[in-house]
Amino acid sequence: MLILSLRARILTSLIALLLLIPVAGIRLQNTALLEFFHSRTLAPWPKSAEFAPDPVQYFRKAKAWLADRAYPIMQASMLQKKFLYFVLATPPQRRVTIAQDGYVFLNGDSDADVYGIFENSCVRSHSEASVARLRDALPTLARFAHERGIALDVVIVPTALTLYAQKLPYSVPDRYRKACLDIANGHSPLLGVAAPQGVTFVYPFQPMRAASGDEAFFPKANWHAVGMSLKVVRDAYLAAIGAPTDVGDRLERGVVPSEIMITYGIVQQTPAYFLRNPHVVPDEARKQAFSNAIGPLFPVPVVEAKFYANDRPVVPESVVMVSDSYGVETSAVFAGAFRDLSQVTSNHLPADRLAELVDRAMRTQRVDRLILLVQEGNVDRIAAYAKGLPPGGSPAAPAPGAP
Amino acid sequence: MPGGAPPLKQNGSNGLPDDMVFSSIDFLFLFLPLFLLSQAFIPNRNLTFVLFSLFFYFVGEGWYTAVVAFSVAANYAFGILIGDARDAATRKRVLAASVAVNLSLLVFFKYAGFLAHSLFGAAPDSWIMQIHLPLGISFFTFHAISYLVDIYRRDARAERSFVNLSLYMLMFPQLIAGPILRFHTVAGHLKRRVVTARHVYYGLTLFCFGLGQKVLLADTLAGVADPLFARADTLSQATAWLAVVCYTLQIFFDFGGYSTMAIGLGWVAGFHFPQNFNYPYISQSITEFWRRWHMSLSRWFRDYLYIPLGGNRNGPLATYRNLMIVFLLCGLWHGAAWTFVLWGAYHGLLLVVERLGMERLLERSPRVLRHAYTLLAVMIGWVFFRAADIGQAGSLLAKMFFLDGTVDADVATVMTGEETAALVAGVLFSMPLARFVTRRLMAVPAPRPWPRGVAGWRYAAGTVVAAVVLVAASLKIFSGAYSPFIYFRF
Repeated sequence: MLILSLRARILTSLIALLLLIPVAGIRLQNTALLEFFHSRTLAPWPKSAEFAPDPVQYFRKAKAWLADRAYPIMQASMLQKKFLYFVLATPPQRRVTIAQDGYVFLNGDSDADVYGIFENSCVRSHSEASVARLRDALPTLARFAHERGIALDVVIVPTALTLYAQKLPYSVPDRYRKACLDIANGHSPLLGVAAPQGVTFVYPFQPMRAASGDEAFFPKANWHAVGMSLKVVRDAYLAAIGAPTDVGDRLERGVVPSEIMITYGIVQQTPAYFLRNPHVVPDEARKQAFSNAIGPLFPVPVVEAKFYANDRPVVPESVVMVSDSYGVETSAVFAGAFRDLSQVTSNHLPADRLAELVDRAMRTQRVDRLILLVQEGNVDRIAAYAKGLPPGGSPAAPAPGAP
Repeated sequence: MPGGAPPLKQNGSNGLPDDMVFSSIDFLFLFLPLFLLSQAFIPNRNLTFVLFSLFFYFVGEGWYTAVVAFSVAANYAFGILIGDARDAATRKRVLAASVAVNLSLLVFFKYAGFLAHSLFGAAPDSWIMQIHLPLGISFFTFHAISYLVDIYRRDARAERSFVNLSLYMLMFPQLIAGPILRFHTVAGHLKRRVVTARHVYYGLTLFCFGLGQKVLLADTLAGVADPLFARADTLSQATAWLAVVCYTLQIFFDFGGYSTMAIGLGWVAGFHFPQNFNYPYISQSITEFWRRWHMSLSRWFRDYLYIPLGGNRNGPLATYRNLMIVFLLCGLWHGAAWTFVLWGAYHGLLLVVERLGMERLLERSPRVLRHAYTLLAVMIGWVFFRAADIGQAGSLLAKMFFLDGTVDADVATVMTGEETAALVAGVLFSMPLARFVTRRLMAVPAPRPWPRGVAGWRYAAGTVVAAVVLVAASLKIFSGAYSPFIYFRF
């Protein structure tokens, strides 16, 4: 027999009701917002047929459902991450590394793959096998460009992981820290890639590393390069294709909010350079035409594209840049050199649709040059593009009105 | 868990622990409030408590709940047989048979693979090595043996209510990680117990403090210890020590925090579980350490093994033998691996050496030396306890005590700010300073007997501190932090 006093009963009930708030508040949660917050689809409620064969798994799934939606998971998580970061200088998530001298690195795309970005950027892309695939891909790409009468360039952009490998703390597993340091010390087969005739290959690690001493060169808590770092990439690229590097833009020093930390609601300003070029202007109408032409090739409804026109080019050519997300900022910087430049982020583009993308672009606008640009962790994407090209022939018909 | 490290639970894909542990969202914000409401409003509280406990177990173990259900049913019958036996010889025979059944269950599920591998070289993929270890089997088996022996000794009567016996064996706060309750200490509470608002205040405040120990300290320190132990071969002397220091604090706050939560939940439900940890790291000898560490286990071994073996009644040699037996089995109880056996043997040996005269030597030594000796001895023990195998334990100890020239990280760069803060807080809270503060300011832990006229502000202070700890721990749990219980599968 349990004798429970009235005050005990009231107190117990009140506390129980307070504790039920996270579950009761599930109805207040916005599923779309939660999915954005978790960067994945929310765990579904398990099927009742799963219960009898394995109740433990069933409950795990039910608990995952609950854990994804408990209220107020987003606000609580943000608050905890801010506290950790600002008070205890601790990364907000396992996939983020707080390194020496205020540097912040992104280790992985998700907590399920904590060191995925390290694996790609410092290990896999710099492996002999990966570089061999890249070497094999370059002649195929050269042939593809030759058939269409355009120039083709491959640009691999180094990431902060290799440029600032010496800043990596020992909390990063040895395998990755040492691999990144090896590259920083100039030991990567990617540095020795020589392009065959008909294609230009640029991996501007050395000039970027040489300039990396300026703390605003590559914002300390960014995943993507901006400003001065991209100018170095572009200038190295222009030098490689034999073009003048005096584009006429100018660098201005300022601050940017940390790209990595802002995703956790943490605003941290870091020194950065902005590249100003009054001659480069976005052209919305032509961007739309470009997007419309290539949009059907993408399995997603919105195509991330840009179009820049330049009234003072140093290379009077029209360029299409197919890139990963590194191209979003890079395109504006590269546009300073060319007559016009259209860029598309190809993360969702099936690799075997590159040829069709280029052909569609050529049917709607003038294309003199194709630039394939990826960050170093995506080197394999270049090989995948080459593998997905058609055997030969079938260059696109010229676009109506194109010279 | 043959030949392996301490049995850590695997995290789910979302970073939350797989099973229903006290520091999970599902327990804290669904199971616990529903349980509290059931205790407040449903009349048949023992039956409700049993049903909640069965569900708790079922969530983690599924159909293996049948094992614990069988154990309860069998021990209910054994208890009545022992209680009703007409003569001492029959009582003894039934006791022997029933203890044998309980131990057989434990041996089969926990040690069959280990024995088969160690004695006959069973392959890792053979069926015997794949036997599932049901959660808390070591705990409910010890509860059952306590029940049977208490009846045999006439310390308690056989429980005629199946529900009450089920509650004793299945009570979810202590089902999977203790404290180990000796039946005669809770038999009265199974029949009648009183819960006042002060008990609820005390219980929930303790629960919050335990949750804080587990989530904010143990889990955070695990973030340092686990990766370091995982790369034990590459550690330098400094990082090897850091790994062991962090693990020393981690295991205390993990297990101590769990016990504190269990004791707190017990108070809310009207059970006054015994204290399980009493600042073990301030001990001045290993003998004292075992009076402060996992006290309910030490008491169980004392009452049901050491004393029946003869204790210290038959001269020094027999005492040393009994100590070694008890600690070898204590080690084996913690896990089916040679590292645990070695850990138990090591502690048994230290106790023997202390009895041989070292204790007297220690008494004459400065206090700081006594503390240093004990802490060092305990930390060496934790190396055996945590290491993946004896080889790794040896290699880690060599790194701790002999410079092998390995260059590794600067200790300061291995830890995040959160981990450094947890380390400092862990050191502070492993000393009685925290108890002094909570007792003086917040009326926690409960002074015995409960004083009348405790100032209201002390309850308010306790509530505020407990709420802050609960919110901080919940924020971390919401953020999907690492949270397996180390003692989960013991």
